[in-house]
Amino acid sequence: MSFFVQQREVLSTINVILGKLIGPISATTLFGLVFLILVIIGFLLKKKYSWSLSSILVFSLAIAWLPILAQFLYSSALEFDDTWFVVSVPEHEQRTWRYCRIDQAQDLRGGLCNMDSFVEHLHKFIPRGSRVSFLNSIFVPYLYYFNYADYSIEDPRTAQYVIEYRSPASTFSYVKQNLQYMNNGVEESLGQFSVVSALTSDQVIFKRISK
Amino acid sequence: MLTVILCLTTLIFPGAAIVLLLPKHILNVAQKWSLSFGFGSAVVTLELFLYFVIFRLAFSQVLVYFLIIQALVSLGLVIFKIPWQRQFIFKVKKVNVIAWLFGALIVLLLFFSLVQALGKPPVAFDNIAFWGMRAKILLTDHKINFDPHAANYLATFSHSNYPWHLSFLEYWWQVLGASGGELNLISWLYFVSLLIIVGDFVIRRLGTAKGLLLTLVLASQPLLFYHASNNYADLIIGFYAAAAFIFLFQWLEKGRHSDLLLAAVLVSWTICVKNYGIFYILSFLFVLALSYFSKLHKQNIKQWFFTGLALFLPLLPLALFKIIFHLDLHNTQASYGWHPEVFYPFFQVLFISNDWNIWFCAFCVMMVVLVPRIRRDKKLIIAWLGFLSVIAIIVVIFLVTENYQWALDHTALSRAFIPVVPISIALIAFTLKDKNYGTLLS
Repeated sequence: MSFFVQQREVLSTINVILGKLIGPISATTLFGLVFLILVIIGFLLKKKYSWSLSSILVFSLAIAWLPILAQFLYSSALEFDDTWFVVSVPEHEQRTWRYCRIDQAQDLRGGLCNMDSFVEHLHKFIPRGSRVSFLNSIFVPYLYYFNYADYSIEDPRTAQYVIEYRSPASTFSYVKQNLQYMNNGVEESLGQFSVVSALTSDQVIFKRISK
Repeated sequence: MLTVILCLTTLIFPGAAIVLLLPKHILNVAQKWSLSFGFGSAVVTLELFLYFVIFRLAFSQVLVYFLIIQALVSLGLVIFKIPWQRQFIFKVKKVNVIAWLFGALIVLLLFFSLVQALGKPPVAFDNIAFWGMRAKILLTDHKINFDPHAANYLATFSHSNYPWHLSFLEYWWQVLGASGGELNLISWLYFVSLLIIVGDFVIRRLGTAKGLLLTLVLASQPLLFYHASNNYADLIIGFYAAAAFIFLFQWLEKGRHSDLLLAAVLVSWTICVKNYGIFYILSFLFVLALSYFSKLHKQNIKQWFFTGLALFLPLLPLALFKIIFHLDLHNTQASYGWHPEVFYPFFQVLFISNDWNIWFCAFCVMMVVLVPRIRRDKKLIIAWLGFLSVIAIIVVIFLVTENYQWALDHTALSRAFIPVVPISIALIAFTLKDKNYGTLLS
């Protein structure tokens, strides 16, 4: 029986694992109550068997926690079975494997899973050392991280290239070569841009033509 | 493999040299093993902080030579000073079948987390956005940009007020050639060190079987286990805070000044790992104040002076840096208000979610059961008040500051309890102590 929702790793830093409901309460709370009952029983039998306080508390904990430990070991073993083969693969494969799992768990539509291939795509179209800017999206920290060594990251108003990678639709608009950007609630024009590459409508590389 | 050995050598041996230079009676073998990595890492990142941040120097091969020579000298000292024959002697008679089983399960969990660490490179959000980003910027630029108008001001794109410990560790390992999952060995080694220091403490108080059982409880806490292969700063701060409180408890018990000095140094370093280390420093000061006014242990002015020195010297460079650069402890724009809506997330994290499975349910029951014992003993009262002050600070921070939002969306709440859990396990063992069982290692 599964006591807990085995949530897979997600993009956020939360990774809260909720106790599965058994009747009206969660498994965590249920086994907490089991612990309480065991402690009460321990105290009732304390004099008869001359148990020490530490024995009552620690062994009540052991009994109440045993199913949880078993579940945890089981899920860790499953995770081990999924993971051991990536230990020896190259770093970029490890990263893509981890990202694709997160992507799938959180339904990120490939935003993370395709990160490496998108970065390669950037390298193909944008000369190294160029001044680039990334339009706001949840993936910006990742784009910064994977492109810092190759490009100079700047403000979109001065950048040579502006890159849109899965930004919210409301963030920008591109009409008649004019790139408009919503910056802190204020829409501003970034200037005239041409499209260098567009993998999809939300993965576009713009190159500045003029201010 | 050679890269990993080199990385470990440059961190563990300076730490080992420090613990071996301390008078013999201060630390037992398990504590020496545990603190070697923690002290060594702190020393190396402090040196990198002085080099890059305080003296504003650019990377040079001299830095690499210096740190490698430091490791070699330390290695020589370790070979010369260490009583080798006593390092690996388990007192087998103390270990019964159940204890062997618990020990084997701990080793199994460590193996599982090691595989996760090596297989999953540290590329989750916080690492990419702050800790690892700094290392990446430093690796690319070879120096820190101190121009406040630059995008990479203080080698980061956000949270320039974050401390540097983890970033410098990742940076140094990458300078030596480590990459991918190898970098995760940083957090895994802190996990191992944490289990050793907490395990040793509880075994000495409750015996091998009960002690290893509580250590297994700690090792199998899902969120802690997850962070053992994630290179976030929370587990690292957990190690320093738990080690500090363990030495603080030892000081409360025996009044040995060396324990207080170690506690002061370790708690001081928590703020060099993450800003919320200040919680533990405040609680430490609270315990000292309680001890002073309750006249628990007599300490002369000289001893108080050295305690103050041990507390403030390690954090002095970071404090000066923060003052000079007008950096505070807030992660976002400061604001204050009353947010009782955070109580339900607190309840969820502690009693419903499986992040800490049944530990907090069990801990609360134990606390109630132990009240009569605590009331009879001044040192226990102080220890518990110190621990509760940590909880109170965490509650207040989430209740009245802008941090309430991170409780409501669970971004930071569960993680804030990472240092609390090992301390709470040590506190239970401290309170339950039947007799002195001695150490498991010779």
